[in-house]
Amino acid sequence: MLNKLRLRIRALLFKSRMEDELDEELQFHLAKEIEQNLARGMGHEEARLTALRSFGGVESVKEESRDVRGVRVVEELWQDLRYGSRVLLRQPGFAAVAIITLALGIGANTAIFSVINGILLKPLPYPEADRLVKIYGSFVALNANNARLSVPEYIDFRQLTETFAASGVFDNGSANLAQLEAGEPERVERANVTPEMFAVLQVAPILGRIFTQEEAQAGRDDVVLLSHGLWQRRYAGKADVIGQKLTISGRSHTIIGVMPPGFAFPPKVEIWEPLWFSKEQYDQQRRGSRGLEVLARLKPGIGLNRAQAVLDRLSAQLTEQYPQNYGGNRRYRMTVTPLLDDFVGNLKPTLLLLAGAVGFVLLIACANVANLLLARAATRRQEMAVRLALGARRGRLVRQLLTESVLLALAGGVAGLLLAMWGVQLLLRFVPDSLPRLASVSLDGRVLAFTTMVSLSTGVIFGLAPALQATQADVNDALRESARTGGGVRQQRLRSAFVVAEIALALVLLAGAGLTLKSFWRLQAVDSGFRSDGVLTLRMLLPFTTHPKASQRATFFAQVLEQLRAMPGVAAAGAVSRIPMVPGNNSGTMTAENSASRPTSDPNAAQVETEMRWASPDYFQTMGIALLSGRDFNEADLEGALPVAIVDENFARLFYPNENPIGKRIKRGGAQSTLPWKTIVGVVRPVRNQRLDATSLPQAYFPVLQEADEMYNLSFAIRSSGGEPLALAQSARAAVLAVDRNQPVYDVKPLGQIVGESIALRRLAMLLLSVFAIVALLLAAAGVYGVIAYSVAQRRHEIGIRMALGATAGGVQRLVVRQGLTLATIGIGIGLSAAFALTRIMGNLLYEVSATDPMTFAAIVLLLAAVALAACYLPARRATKVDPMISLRYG
Amino acid sequence: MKKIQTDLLQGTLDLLVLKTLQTGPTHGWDIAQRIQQVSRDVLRVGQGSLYPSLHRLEAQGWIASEWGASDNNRRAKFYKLTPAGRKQLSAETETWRRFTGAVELILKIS
Repeated sequence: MLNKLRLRIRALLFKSRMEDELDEELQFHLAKEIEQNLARGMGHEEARLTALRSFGGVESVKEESRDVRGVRVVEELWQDLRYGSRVLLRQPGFAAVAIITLALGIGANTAIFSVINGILLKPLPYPEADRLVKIYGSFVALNANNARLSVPEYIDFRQLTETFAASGVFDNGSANLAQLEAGEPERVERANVTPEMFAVLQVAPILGRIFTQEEAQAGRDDVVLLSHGLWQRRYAGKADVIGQKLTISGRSHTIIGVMPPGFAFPPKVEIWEPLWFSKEQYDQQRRGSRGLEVLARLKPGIGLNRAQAVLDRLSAQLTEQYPQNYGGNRRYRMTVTPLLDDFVGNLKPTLLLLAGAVGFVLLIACANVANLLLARAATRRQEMAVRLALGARRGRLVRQLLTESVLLALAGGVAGLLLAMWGVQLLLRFVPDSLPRLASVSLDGRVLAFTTMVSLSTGVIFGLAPALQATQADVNDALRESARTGGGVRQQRLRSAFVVAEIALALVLLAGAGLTLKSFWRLQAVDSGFRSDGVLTLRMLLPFTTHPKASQRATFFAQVLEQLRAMPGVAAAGAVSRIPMVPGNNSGTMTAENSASRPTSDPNAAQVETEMRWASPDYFQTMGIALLSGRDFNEADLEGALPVAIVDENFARLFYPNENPIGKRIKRGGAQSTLPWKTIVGVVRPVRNQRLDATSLPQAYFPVLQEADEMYNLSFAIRSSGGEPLALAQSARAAVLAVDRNQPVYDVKPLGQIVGESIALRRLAMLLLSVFAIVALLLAAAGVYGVIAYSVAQRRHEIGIRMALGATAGGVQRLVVRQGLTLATIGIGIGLSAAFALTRIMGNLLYEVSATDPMTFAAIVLLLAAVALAACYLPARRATKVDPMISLRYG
Repeated sequence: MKKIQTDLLQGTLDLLVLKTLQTGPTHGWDIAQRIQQVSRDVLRVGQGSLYPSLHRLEAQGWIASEWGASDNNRRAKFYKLTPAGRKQLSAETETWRRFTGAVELILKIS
């Protein structure tokens, strides 16, 4: 065995020496033969000839001996590669066009794949991350998904120990870290987690310990775990950090542990504090106050479907047990979502759609290169015919031609990889940071393997048909035919088929791009309910620890607002619990008193899931949210004054369709809720609070100065009196710091940017689809041009005869154009039916545009037809320039 | 007597080559000569089948080769049996005997 291997390696490495030895051995044999013949008494010449004759073909002996060495395939491959590269180098123009075309296709695929690889394929950085799931509630009838859980719901969920190995609750946000020395505080991402969370994530601290159950309660919870990064940054990785004090948002904590490097849950979090539930939260009355984010680990062997079935059973039980919470037409359902899916959210279908689109681009590129190869095959027909006549096997020739096309594809792959490296950089610049897992997008081994695979298979895909065509030549015909013809009907048909396919694929891409473009255009016209231009927003945290009293907090915010309003260039300023379209949600049940349409006696009708915000006076004016009736909040709406609320038009219409809502009373929670009634003092326009492309639930606002509990994490909006909003950023920062040096300001952004981020994914998909569609259109145009031009060149003789017989230039032009338009029409027909079927899957990318929008389809059909016509124009003109005399004599 | 084409039976030539080499190392031409002589001119080995056979046997590891000087001091490639080749020879001889014996039996009956 070893010996065999040694021989083969020797055969490969010392090929020429082996050949020489074989030669010498055969020469020796021949010499001995001649010697013997001489001994038999033959003459010199006769002896040599006899020996040679009996020896047979020296070359075939050599060939057979080589076969024995078992390396012929490798040797031939090497031969083919050298021959192939020589052939390609001899036609640099052809090679360049083919390689660029392929580089576009492969590069686009590699770029999209590296994004998919980073976001969808790489596992999350937790042990056995595929068993981690998020638990949500959804009200199917209300179309409200991903609602959090309330404490009573979580307690019920925790009984399912047969299905879920462990579960924990977390709540994340940001916190202010006091500096070790004096200085501005640092803002870090923080999470409060229940002690079980570390068991769910299967992670242990590298230093110190995790929380105990005893530390998850009021008064004992002043302990904190640090991320590895924070430990390195602040404490230079010193082990004596355990036991040290750290002031977080004004409250002193004891550091009890350091997590391993790279660990962060949720992503980006750097400090973990204990999470616990208050006695009130356990109250069944609070079943409807849903604020818990739940992470669970599936037991080994339990699939998603089984887990969901278990949750469905629990949901049915709950609905029966607590009809006032889940009953009626709400259809509550607890759901299980893989953690990875939860992170990537609606990115997944969009990425898969883009992958499909680039796949189409690659197919078009393949068709184009195949057509180039076919045209070239026609000129190489004689070469192939001669080689077939000399005894080359067809399989061998096909293999050689395939080697050439794979070589082309690999070159295209290398160029594509470079293009992709650049493209990914460009892509990441267009993608907002808010998209998940961007950091894990890179060109890694898997991406390289993907590109190699794509290149190799691309080479075979576009090379096979031309190779089979080229080697099919009837030797006699090919040798007899002059260089003028070649190809023939069959080849022309194949080339036409490729062009038809290209046009069809391009049409599908154009349809996709056109529909997203139209959706985007529609979105631009959407009324968000506020005016985003000229508004700057910023956020800050006001810890309870530093401003424990409601009056202190109210004073603080009043001062900040006063400072902001006093700034030059500011027209208005206001505060709100959350700026519209900033990710995050705060909704809850609201009940109306004495609503004629929804009487309190019917618990299902009287309460409605409502988005709630807390706003300062002048907030609506700053944001440009129209006050339809009643009054704005004012400085008198303080704690202790009459509780008031402002609702939006939808809320008013729902509860008071034929009445004036001003003066009516509403309260948070269900009919039994003991929370105070609030009197409606105003009605405002509805606002798109979540995203520009999603309508919102009914909305209610409460005065922020009246509810100290909500004065914690506030956002400010500042309307400039004309200038660029970002120009106010510096002075706004200074204004806040002037009130309190210890409160960092963050997320300073123009409101327009926040609105843009809410549709960033859509914008990205639109941009990419448009780019791909344009590339596809250009490639298809090049394909049409190539085929028509080639056919004109071939038909020069025929055209010459036609002109000699009196055909006009216009007639000839029509002849050529008709050929191109026929191809285009067939392609458009096929493409239309494919597009009608495929655009359906774009559902979530479309906005108020039907997947078969007739206007869009009509426009792209016209565009494609016009491009095809333009691609025919040059060849058609060339056809009319044919001089009948010349073409008849020499053509 | 009519000469027999040796490539009629696959593997037969390999057996003859191995057997010839049993007496000691020698070069290709000599192997062909000896087969011809010992078979009294019945078996003639063409170069076209001899050398592929030699290289095949070498690739199998049953014979080994080295360059040496022939009787009149010319460089020639000498082949010799390897231990594995010896084992192969006895196995193939056994197979051949059983095969020809069986053929003989059938020929006798009919």
